[in-house]
Amino acid sequence: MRVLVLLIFILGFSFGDIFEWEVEVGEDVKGKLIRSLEEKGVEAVKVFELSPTYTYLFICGGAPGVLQDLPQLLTFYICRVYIYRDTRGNSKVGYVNAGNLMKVFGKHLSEEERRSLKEFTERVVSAIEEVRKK
Amino acid sequence: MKAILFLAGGVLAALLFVYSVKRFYATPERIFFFTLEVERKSFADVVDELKAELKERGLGILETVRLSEDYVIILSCDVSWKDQLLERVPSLSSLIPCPVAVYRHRGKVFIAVPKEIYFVQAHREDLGQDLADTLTRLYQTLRIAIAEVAVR
Repeated sequence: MRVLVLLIFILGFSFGDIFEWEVEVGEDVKGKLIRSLEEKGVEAVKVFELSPTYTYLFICGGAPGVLQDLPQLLTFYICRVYIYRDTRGNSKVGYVNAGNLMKVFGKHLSEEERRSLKEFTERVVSAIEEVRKK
Repeated sequence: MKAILFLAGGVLAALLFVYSVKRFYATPERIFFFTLEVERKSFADVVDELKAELKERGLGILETVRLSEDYVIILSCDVSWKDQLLERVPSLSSLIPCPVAVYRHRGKVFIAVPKEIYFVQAHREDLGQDLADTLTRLYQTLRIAIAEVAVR
């Protein structure tokens, strides 16, 4: 994974965004998702309607703690879940691809930070899975 | 003999180059984040000065979120073209609003933002040249604002 990221930079190849993870959901999912997150102990601290078809949830209510070894990482995807309607009218929810995130950054975190981050992202993913279109 | 020595020297130099790039420059911290240490200023002053600087440069502030006593994220870059950007590449709310972190780490104060280059390269086709350039210019302005606060 790290090699892939380096190739993107050094050779200018584009493999898409490896940190991206999206699933299709039903209509009017915002309230359900916020409740589902709360049930998992993740609070949507702020909710922004960035456009009529795009909602941005800021979810890092101090949940993963403040990472000591790589504090910048909290700005990077982890604190944000987004809901949008695509050009075909399908509703989708996106979050970080936690597996790839850990592959790239995990080695730079302590064991405790890795555990805390993994546990937090798993809670978010499981909340999203609950509202996913079956 | 000279040729073998020359070749061995070349291989050694190449290996040293690759090692130093990997060890010192190609770390995720350097690739993905722009981070500056701010000296001789308190944490609270840095947050206040940065907010003022961002406003002055027309970047706007959507929200300031305090995650702990030592960590604040300022969601900046409330730009008029965000609808267009997010319609083309929805996952780019990783960059817009711009998540600017101010944090205290081992007694020092830092400001950090993600670098846009990875995202622009990953989505260049969907973004189109104009929007890619606009996003790059916005992040350049953001880095200048951060540097201004850090060195003032």
